[in-house]
Amino acid sequence: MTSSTTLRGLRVVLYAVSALILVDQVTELAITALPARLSDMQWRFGLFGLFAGRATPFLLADGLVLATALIFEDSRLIRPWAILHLILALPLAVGLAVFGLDVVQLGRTVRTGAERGFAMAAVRAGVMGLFGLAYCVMAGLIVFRATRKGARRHAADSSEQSLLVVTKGRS
Amino acid sequence: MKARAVAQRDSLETALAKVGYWIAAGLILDQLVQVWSSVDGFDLAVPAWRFQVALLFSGKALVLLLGAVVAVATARLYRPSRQTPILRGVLVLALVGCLVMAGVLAADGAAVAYTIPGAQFRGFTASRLRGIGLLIGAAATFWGLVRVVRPLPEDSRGMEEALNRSTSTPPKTTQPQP
Repeated sequence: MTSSTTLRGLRVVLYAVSALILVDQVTELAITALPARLSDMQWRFGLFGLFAGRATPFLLADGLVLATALIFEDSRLIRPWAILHLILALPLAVGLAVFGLDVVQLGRTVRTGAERGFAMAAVRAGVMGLFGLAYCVMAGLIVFRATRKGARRHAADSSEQSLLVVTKGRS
Repeated sequence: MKARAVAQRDSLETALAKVGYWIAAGLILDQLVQVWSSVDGFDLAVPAWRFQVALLFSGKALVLLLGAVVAVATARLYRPSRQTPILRGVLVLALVGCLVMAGVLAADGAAVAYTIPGAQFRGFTASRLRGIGLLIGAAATFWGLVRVVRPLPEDSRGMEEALNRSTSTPPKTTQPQP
């Protein structure tokens, strides 16, 4: 038997786990990446590679937040979460473009024998960066549209019902 | 108020199902790209290369399984799913892949064992046995997931109901016998 207190507790736990995963990943990234050297090409390349290498925990945390929000019908959280995805897509797109340019420039300076490792790291980061960008845009759009569609469908349903009531009243 | 909640829940459920497939694809893609970028070259004829790939895969088996579980849960949530046959195909492929990799670890491991220095032999055997165990466990779980994804009678009933709702035709009802 599940009481409402237990369910509320479960909801808090699920959100806390997602937050913990996100904070842990961001902290690890920050510890490795700081101090920031934005003008250093190698630092930018490394940062993007690190970010792309953490796709799995980020995806898990995101999925957990969305699933929890759906199960507990937290429609107030879902919409900002979708907007956050769309906002995140912008720096990700810029980062991906800069990363592409850095790969071209760094590729010329890589010492002989290390080309393969460099190319592998670049492809891996590029593939996951592209996927991350596509995911942010798609997830943001899908969820954002769903919240609007739900509201619209309700509006259509209620106007249809009120029309029926008016027609019945006249007849 | 209740109608609004139901409409919103339906839309969000569909959205979560779509995003669920994206998450599953992301988890699986990340693991595959990690394996691909860690492997030295491509040489199927060399037992050491095959062994290395199989060992790398065994390390990724659990996350791959997690991705598969997310996809299967999504398929169960999103009932009128066209993706179900594709998902079953992927699961069967993963199941066969796990068994093949376990076979590679067992067979090629014996060939590679001669090249391992004595001091590292214990660690080598441990990682080999761990890999075989993980891959066989993953194969068994993939088999379970294949069975879960199989269309059940309730699924077809659910789809029929959905079809009835979408075409606005009343569902068939059995007439009481006189």
